[in-house]
Amino acid sequence: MDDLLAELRVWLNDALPKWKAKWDGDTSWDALCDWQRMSSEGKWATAAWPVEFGGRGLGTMEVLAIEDVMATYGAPQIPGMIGLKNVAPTLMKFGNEEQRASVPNIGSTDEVWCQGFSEPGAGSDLASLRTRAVIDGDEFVINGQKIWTSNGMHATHMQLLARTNPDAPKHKGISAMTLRMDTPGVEVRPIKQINGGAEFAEVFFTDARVPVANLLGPLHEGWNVTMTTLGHERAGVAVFAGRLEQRIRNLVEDVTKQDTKVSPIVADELAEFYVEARVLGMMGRQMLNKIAQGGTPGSEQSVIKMVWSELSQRVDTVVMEMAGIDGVTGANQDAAMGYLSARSATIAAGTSDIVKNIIGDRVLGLPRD
Amino acid sequence: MKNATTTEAERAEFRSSLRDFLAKSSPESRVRSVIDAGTGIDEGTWKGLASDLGVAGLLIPEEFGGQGMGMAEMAVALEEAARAIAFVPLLTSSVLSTLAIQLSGDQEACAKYLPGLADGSEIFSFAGLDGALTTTVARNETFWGLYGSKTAVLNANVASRFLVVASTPDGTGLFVVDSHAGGVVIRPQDALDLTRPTALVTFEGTEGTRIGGDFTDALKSLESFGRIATSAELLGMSERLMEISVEYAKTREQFGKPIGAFQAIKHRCSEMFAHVESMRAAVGSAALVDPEDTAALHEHSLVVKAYCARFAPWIAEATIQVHGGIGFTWEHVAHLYLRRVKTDEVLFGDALACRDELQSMLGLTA
Repeated sequence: MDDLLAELRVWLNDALPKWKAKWDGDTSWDALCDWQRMSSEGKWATAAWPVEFGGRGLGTMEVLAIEDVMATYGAPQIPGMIGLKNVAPTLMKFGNEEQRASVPNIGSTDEVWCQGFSEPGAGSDLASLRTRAVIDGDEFVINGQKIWTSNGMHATHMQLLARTNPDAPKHKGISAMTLRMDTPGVEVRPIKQINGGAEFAEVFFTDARVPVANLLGPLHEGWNVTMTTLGHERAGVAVFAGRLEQRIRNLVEDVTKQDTKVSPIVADELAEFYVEARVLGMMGRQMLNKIAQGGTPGSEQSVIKMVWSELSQRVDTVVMEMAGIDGVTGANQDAAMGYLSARSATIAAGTSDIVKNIIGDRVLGLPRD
Repeated sequence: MKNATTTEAERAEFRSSLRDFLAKSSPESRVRSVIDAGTGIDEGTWKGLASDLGVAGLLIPEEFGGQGMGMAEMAVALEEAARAIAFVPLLTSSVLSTLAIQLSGDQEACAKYLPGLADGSEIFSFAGLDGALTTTVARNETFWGLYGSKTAVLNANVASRFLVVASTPDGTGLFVVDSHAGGVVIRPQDALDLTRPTALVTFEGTEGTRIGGDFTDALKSLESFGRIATSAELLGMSERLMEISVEYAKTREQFGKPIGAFQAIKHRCSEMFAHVESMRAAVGSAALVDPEDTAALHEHSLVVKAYCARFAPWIAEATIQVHGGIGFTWEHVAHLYLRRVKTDEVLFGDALACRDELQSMLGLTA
């Protein structure tokens, strides 16, 4: 591990200044893609991939350590995370030869992949999705709508979930397939968020035709194919836990450096955050230790997700309170944007309400409604 | 005391043997009969825990007849004993008194007192909290004479000796007092916790044996261990309360279905689970801190107690809420837990007190 991280530091000391010199403060999509291309060439962005696909075949702990070092160096964000972490592993596992040929292009950003999962009527209850794919000869004919598609505006390809058997129980009639975003009948529109950004898109399908050969995994088995993909995200919450803990430490430190002391009420709120974030961090480290020892995280992941999302949202609320009038005049835009953005913490990747249902149903074995 | 000497798997095995023993020896019916009898201790459970399972000597080095282990192992015992609301003087004798003697640094006292504590033949009670408006003082006459009173002295009725913190002309001192010594008056209090009696113990010129020198720093460390120990108890009780609530939510039917199918109940149970898992991570981490690293121990103990003292009472209250009317009855076990939870909450500082100390430690307050 130490050798690996030493190699990474040597690489970063060389690559990061080169990238910065080339883009000069530009953090546009193209600039970030260039960083991903460099990181993939160095086999860092693709470190988790097997060697035969241009990766290093590293485990979760090593990958998390790499990401930590990247973060401490202030390396730019990797834009095609969904492709690298979710789509590529699925293509490697379920893809045919042509689909697997996309893998190196995902690393280099020559192809940008999105996932067509959520729909207006299928958010937390993803399995109730209604976008239809009907077989007509050797093609699927696709009709329906996807929403909250991350990277949708930049994507060249999509991993799509569509209903291929409407008569089967909802988890059993779904298929996964791949398609090009320039397929006729596919239309992409950006979704403007409450914080003014547009990281997501809506994708509309009107008689879009996709070869049946683009099926990913067996017909009607799309749910299982997708769950495999989502499994790759799981260790990530433990990293979120550690980062929130660090964020609170930094926040407390910043506050103590100010000339004026905060009010006793705010001081107590910060102390509360400190307590809860420390405990969350301990929980995250326990989960990582379990993974390091070859264990599979179970309920910890749902608990950490729930605690993290609610705590991080409360923190942004208090940061906004501390900003006072500056928070609403634009004088403290960070506080205002942080506050607005934090609304999504308890919604994205399963709302807190649904996570509580999942814990109740699956972990505690409570009866379903 | 040492850092953890066992592996996680060994501690899990230890836990399961404790749980098996306590399920047989300290079922709710047994706890209630001890409460009703007013004897102040469940002799059978104490003997089994203290001597047969070696719990009393966990924190005592082998040279003094103990197991030579640390807080990681003792936390397991505290969790399990509290889970069974066992009527035993584990906290005050085997944790607080045992550690106070060792923290005094007095080797002679260790050799004299620890072996009796290790095999459970002696029960000590730690008297650290001054009674209202008084400070217990020690005057060095022909012997050390103690004057003052201590409140909330746990299991005082079964203690053979008290460990008394008192101020002396040269700082804070720790004194051993025979519970039958002249001038000792033990007044049982109307304790909220029915499974752990408390007393107001008054010293009227009572002879004490001073052990060690200035006890100020040692007391700070002892308080850190006290916060971790009470947190472990709070975890053990919270886990059991969650199980009781979930079990009830699965079986109790209203409006034609189990109440656990209603999201209001289900979400309350899920939140209990999240808090229990958080408490488990916190207690586990705090119990593994190097006991020599007093700064880390202090910070961890404040964090873990601030968390457990805030959410364990919430879990106990939520348990009663999930049960509705039956949860408000004397017959239901919930109040026995609630009473012990509320007591552990305040011992060595409740959540507010811990946060207050954290605020000044972090530099948030002047």
